Amino acid sequence: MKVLVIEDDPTVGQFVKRGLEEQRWAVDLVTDGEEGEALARSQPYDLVVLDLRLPGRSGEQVLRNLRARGFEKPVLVLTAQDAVDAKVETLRAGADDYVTKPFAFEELLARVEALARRPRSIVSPKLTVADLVVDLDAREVTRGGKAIELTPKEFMVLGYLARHAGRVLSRTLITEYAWGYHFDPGTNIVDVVINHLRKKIDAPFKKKLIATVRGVGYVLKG
Amino acid sequence: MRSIRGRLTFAYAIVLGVTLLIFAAVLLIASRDAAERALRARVENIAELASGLLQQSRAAGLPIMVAPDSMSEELSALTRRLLAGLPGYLLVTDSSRVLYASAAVERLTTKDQLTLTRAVIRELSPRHPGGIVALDSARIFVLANFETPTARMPIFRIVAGETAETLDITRLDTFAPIVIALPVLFLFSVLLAWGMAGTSLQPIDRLIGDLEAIQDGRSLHRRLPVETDENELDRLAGTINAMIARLEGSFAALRRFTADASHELKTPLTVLRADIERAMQSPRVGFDQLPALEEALAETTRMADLVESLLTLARADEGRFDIHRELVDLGPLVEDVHETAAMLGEASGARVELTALAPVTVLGDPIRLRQLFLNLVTNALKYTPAGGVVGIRLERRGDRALFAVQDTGQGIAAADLPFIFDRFWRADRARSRGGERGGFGLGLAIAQWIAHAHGGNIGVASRLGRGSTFTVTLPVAAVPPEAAPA
Repeated sequence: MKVLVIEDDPTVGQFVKRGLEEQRWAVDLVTDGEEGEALARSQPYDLVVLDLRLPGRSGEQVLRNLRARGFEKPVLVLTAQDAVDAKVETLRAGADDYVTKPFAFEELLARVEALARRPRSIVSPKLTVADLVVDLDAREVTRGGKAIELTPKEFMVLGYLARHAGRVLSRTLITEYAWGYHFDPGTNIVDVVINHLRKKIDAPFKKKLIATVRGVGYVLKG
Repeated sequence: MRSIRGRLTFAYAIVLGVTLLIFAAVLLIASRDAAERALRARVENIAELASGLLQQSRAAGLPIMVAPDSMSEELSALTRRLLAGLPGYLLVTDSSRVLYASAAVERLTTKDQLTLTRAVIRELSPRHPGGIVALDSARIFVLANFETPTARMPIFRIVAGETAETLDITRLDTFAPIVIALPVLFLFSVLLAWGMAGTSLQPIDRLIGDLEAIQDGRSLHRRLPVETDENELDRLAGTINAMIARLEGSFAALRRFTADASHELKTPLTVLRADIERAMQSPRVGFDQLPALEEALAETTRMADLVESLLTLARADEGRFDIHRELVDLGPLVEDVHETAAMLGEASGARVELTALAPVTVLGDPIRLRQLFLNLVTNALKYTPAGGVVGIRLERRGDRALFAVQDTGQGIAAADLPFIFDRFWRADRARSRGGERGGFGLGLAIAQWIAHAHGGNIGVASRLGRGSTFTVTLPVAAVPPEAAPA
């Protein structure tokens, strides 16, 4: 799957490029609107990630031009404006979805995957870590074949850990994933959820799957 | 009366009333004057007639005086008959006696006769211009006249009079018309003035209506209609239009600033965030560097949240309540909030209870509503000590959904209550539980904005030392229950 990223800021552009490449996307990165527009029309991309503020030709203009010339592939817009009217304007101009800056890569990836309608086989709904199985579709968790009841938040956090099994996920990333932005709990709610998860998933078993990384967060590994 | 219309009419009524009263007074004085002159002329006429009668009689050699006895003389019967033909009050005297009194005088009471005679003899000098003699039964206007004597004749003094009743103001010809016409005229004029004031103020009323429609913040592109440039109201409308244009300009500038600030503040945060996230994922980063990166990520998120809140409030200041709207079933939303609250309570040692959960659907932005409820819940937990209880309930009260958060915390001082929804307001730091970082003091301001943007309200009841209850009411969506999403 090929994706074109049109983003003038090199850091953000590289961040998106590297992140998507890690998820096995083929990524082209350009920093100029005009160039991006020409590339999008000449190459067979599956998806375009477009920053709205670009030097030269604005992202919105690029978007309108592409749509006016029959470009049919999904376009995901990156915007700093989160006012409803600005979002509506973007969607009217032909965008399929938008991500407001600053964004967590996890969110961008989720939206890119949703837009590209990847086949189910690639995004497996069943994640397995040792003898723990997390079924994202059925929202079911089993360990050693035994079903485990989780509350919605517990399930979200466990799903997130399982999808990135082996990677350290910080408390901030987990909070953002499970509660979104605009939530400053003031206390470490993540620790509470992890406590619950440990009681349900690790306590009855000899092998502990959830490990604490002091001062950072948690990691799930088999 | 407070309105300009009322005050104009009132002032007009006073001026008109005074004018009409002066006019009536002048008219009455003038007509009384005329009536007096007419009366005087009539009385003079009668006196002259009587005098002429006596002179003619003498010239014709008729006997005027007869002497029934040597001691006294009196008017002859013929003379009496002649004088009786004259109307009104008539007295003929010589230097000391009354020789003749007309029938009208005879009809007066003895006392009145005496008063009249005495007045005539003692008080009226010859050529007296006449005056009013007040009697018990009547007021008589008298005029003295006297006969020019010849050598052979005694001096006759003739006094004629008429009742002065015609001089009474109420008897004047002009009185009745004035008394009847003036109030009618007055009422009519005042009504007319009320109507005219209304008519001339009507354009102002229209202007007020138009302005009210414009000033809601979203209609600033509209202008007041200006037909010509000639009358005062059109000039006023023109001036107001110029002002609206300037307002529109500054609102546009604010919007532009908000957009620019969004971009300028959020782009570096995006870059920062991207850098940190990438560094955290890098296989080369050591475990000892991760805590610093996590700290940086947390701060970036906090900063992004602050920028977000400030921009939201800046937009709210513009009066733009632009929120996404969809049907939201508050039940699952509140259950979700309760789950989060329970976890927060677990961390801080407070118990969180969901005491009521009514099925109720509103029209709104689920993300914002969740933020609103979470803000209230985290705020309640922040000020509730370990062992305390926070109660959450969702009820339906008529056409309003009611979400309440009750805590057993320290409460809010009555003096602080008016300020708690202000930006950056925070209860005394020393009183909030130590050991952790507080928010920016924007949570309740944002909560209030969200409630208002949904057409709802937010309120608080609190007693120091007993705890507080925050209550949000939202209008229930006008849909049949089966159409609401499950």
